[in-house]
Amino acid sequence: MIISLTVNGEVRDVAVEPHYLLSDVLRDRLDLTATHVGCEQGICGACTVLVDGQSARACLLFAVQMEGHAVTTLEGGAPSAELRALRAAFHTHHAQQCGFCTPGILMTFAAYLRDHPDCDEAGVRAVLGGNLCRCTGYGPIVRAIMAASAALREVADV
Amino acid sequence: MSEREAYVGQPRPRREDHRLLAGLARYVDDIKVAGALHAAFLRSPHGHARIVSIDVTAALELPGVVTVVTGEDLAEDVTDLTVAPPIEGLRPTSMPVMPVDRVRFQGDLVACVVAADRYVAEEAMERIVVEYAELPAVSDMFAALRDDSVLVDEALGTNLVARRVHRAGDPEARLAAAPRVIEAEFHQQRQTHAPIETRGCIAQWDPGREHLTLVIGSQVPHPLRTQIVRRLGLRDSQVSVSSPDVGGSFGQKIALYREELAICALARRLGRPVRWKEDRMENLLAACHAREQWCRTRAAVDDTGRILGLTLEMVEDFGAYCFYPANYISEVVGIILTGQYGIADYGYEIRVALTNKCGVGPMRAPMAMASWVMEGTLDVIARRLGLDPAEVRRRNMLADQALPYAMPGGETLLDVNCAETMETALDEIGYAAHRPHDDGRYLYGLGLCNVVESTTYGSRFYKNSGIGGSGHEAARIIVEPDGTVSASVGMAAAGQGYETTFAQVVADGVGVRPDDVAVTLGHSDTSPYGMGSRGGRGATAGGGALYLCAAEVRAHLLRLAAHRLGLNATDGLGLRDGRIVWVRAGGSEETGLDVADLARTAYFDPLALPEGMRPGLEFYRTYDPPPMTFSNSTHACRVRIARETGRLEILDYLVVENCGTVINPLVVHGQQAGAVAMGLSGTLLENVVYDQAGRNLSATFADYTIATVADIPAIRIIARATPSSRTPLGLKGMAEGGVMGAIGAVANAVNDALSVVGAQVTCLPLTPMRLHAAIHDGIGRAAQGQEG
Amino acid sequence: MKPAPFSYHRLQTVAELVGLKARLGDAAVILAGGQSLVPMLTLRLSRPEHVIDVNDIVEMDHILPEQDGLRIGALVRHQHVAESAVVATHLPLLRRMAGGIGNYAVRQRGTIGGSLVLADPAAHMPLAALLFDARLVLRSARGVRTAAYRDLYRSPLNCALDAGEVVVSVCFPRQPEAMRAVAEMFHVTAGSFPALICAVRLVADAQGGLAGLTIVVAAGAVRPPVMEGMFDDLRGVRPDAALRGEVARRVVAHMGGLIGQDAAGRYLLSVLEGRMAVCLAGAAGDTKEGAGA
Repeated sequence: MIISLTVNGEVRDVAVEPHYLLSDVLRDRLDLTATHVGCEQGICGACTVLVDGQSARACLLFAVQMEGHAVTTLEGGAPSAELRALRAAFHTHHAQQCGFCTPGILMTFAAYLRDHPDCDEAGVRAVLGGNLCRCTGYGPIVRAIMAASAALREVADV
Repeated sequence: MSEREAYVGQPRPRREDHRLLAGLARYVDDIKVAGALHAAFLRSPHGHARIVSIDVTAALELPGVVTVVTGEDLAEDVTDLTVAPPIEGLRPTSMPVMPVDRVRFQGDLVACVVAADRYVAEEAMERIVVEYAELPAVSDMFAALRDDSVLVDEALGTNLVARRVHRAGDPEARLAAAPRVIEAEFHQQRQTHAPIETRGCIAQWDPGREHLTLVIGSQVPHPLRTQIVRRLGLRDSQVSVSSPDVGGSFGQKIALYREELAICALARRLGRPVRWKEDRMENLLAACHAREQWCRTRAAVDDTGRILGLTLEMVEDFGAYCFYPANYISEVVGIILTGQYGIADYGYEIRVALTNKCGVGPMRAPMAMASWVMEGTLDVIARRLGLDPAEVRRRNMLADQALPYAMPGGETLLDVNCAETMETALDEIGYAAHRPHDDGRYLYGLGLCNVVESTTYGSRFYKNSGIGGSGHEAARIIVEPDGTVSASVGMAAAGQGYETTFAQVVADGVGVRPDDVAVTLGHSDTSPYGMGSRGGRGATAGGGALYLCAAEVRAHLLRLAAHRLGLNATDGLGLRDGRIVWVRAGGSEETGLDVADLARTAYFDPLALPEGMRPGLEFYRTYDPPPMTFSNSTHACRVRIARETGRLEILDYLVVENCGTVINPLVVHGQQAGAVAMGLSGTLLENVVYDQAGRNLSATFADYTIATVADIPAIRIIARATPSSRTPLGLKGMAEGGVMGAIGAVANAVNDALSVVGAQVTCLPLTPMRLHAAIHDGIGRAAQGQEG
Repeated sequence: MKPAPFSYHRLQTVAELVGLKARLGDAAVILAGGQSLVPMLTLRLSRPEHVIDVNDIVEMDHILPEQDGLRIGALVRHQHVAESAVVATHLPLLRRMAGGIGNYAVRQRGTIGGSLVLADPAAHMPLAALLFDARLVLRSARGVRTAAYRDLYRSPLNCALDAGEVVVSVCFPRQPEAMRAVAEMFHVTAGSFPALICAVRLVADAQGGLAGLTIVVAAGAVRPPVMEGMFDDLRGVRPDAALRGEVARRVVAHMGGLIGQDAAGRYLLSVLEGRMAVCLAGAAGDTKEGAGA
């Protein structure tokens, strides 16, 4: 069947079977390989994307469910202010090593920082609990997210 | 600061980050190959069974299925893997690419489906009818070593695949004569690497060129190629292995596994590209496990806590198949156990058992248990004698003047500052004020773990320990016609930041800016044949080879510059950020020449080269590092355990570390903290669990739990680095010691806390339930530290 | 791991849903948030012929205060419950429990209806529905009925709907003024499902004595029991430390009979004892913050 969905701001028609996972369709049919598949069990969070602006695990959605919805991946068109701030802070704070879990974390927090501009570290840690990283020990990731949040607030105050 | 060390030592953010953060990285599964078929492996549901029959008819009938093969089919194309290095006490083993008539663990290979996509392949797998005759399984290593055990590998006639004995001095005599003999026991649970990117590969056979190309996330592209060539009956020049971005490996991506080899064979057989992406369940069930080891020490001590002699008894569970010589992992524990302590009379006996479980391999710090065992033994001694644990360490620790020291395990310890790291850690953690105590809600404890981290492993180590293979590394540097520098070694990165740190090393070695150095890694065609990334050898072997090669580049460029400037010698000339300068007291002066000018000459105006200098600017240099380099550190932590729930909280965690010259503090700090986190995750949470029938009960991330952000405390890292006296730039290695120290520091802190209620734990992981039982049921009381 | 093929149906109204469910019966599963269902399909633990996607049925996505309680549509996401001012006013404990589910990403998608129908013994929403004696509004081709969740939830992973029935909403009864409800969770590790949840609902009489006490505990792989009648003899007694100790003893004894006394069972019971004390103190208003209401 052909479904029509918005991916990174563009309307795309794509042929899928109902049982195809969104993670596979993004990667294999739409060539959007920034969305990584780490477990297909909804636990590691590497495949997190935005669906209608809210973070969701692409391995827990069937692509066919996205008909008429908007999906944003890390490749996504013009990056949001949150994503730009996160990227800069992740680089400065060395918040990724192998980088495989990173896209899921960036997408999760692109939405979270947008919705929680005044977030505190406890809130960030609670949300980051949904993403597994095997390299960093998480410390630099928390520091980077807090730095990005602070940078966004600074811009907002100007 | 001398000119040469301008970039080494700078905390430069990584150049790799851009593509990772933009979503532009290319991991294996991101690489498109037109027309590639997808493979899926049917795996044994049983821990041990005979394959009576396999009927693939219905699977083949499914549209989209190209072929289904069994072990019998592939045996025609692929030779067996025989692991039989000439090591005393090691029994040779052999295995086919896929089992033919018997599966040895749950997750073992039974058949491989190749289809248009993975969805079709998995449908087809459900249509394969396999008749098994279930056999009794042995999933416990101690049971496996009993005479009446089921045999995992009938060809061996025993499950004892390796037994190694080593003696220095006369430890038994010391034990017999000692005022006291103190015993301690340690049991580390089975774990697995669980990189967030699972395994996977793409194989393409070019029938016209008769050439195989394998894209695979690998730590060791060249040794992997050697394996492939042997197994497929090809020649080195017929195979290219390339490792793109790798989503973590931690030792899991070293061996040539059976799945990967099967994919290569299928690509050749079908003449079409074949790809495989391991799923998480396969990864947890059947990729590679690690660390299941039991140790018992017996220490002869005097009343001051001085160790007069020590023996180690060790048993390791190696699983069902040997991808490595079975003594390889535990032997290093035996070799380095005594670390920084002066113990002349020492011996070990290691027994390695086969069981009906997934095969094991090295996992980040495969010798990790050594620090826990040694430091745990010292703590038991201190408790039994009523002495201060730090003081017992001081009394046994080698004085700095005693270095280099011939360790009783056979290696030579040098370039460490163990007393300095320990004393610094004691100050920082507030050791003097600490006493284990119980406030009614929590038990409080403090743990210390001194670590001697063996790193690098030069060829001499392999020769000495009979393991076989080389420890050298090779570097190639090309100054391109435009003056930019391309550098490569045989290492392959999985997040270590080599592209950034090696550029810093080459920049200093040549005298150019890091931004002018491109580091390309991981391709067997374009990188020189090297031994790859393992055993904490990246900086020393890889960085060392590059630095030595870069020095040759620099000397060559300066000779060329001197000729261009009409000089007979290079005296007084220097290379700074790509420019040829006059080095003067108090500064430098431009000559007007730069590397780009010299490169143009070398490539396009060879007649302007000095007499005897050949055109072009390509350099190759190998380097065989010392048998071992040693980093050292002290880990210290304070914990509390809730009486009500047994939950452990780490209140403070610090590492004082000497890892030699630091190329990039940002990257090194990341590696150190990451290693500690992996050690904590293993100590507190991770557990591969098999039942008695050999069924794996931990095959999802819901069951095999790895640390989340809530499980890892803040980690303080304090540098006390001294350079190695034996390596270029004074480099050592450092990415494994964090694991070693974390296990020992936390386990020791827990036992310090539990000492308040007279309990001890000797088994990992330190789950709340285990700690709760220790506190309330007295489990573990007097189970450790028997005095003889 | 890939799901087996199925036919997909995406519906807009409850009427369509009821019609299709009547036609397909057990061959169809309903896909709401998918946070539990999709992994089960991917692991091929379940392979339905039909999957009915209800995410567009907006009439099931509402939170309404009503005369006799709070009605929450089956499609309401956990995060919505966790952030709802209406829920905070009427049933603060429910809001807290929703906020403690899984992680942020799971809460964004997971629904209350899906969770109740799945009846996972370690899940928050079923426990809350048992505690407050919530009723499910069920529709089928035969019409509408309501049923107590306590009656429907028979055993782990078994919410006994009649053939062709779908959950439209859940009604939490209005609570008396003098009600306090508290829940405590215990996770063995930060990232794992809770090993233990205990919840207490306490209603005081005018003199401060016990007028009603309900305790539900999720531990082990058993359907969380609703403990109520076993406290009847304590009516009118002030919930002081002595009484709370007695209640905790009865709860632990009752749970011990259900989950067994092996090492894991003994451990959970021991932890339960401590958690019960905290919960009961909170419900009795004996702590400054109370862990819940």
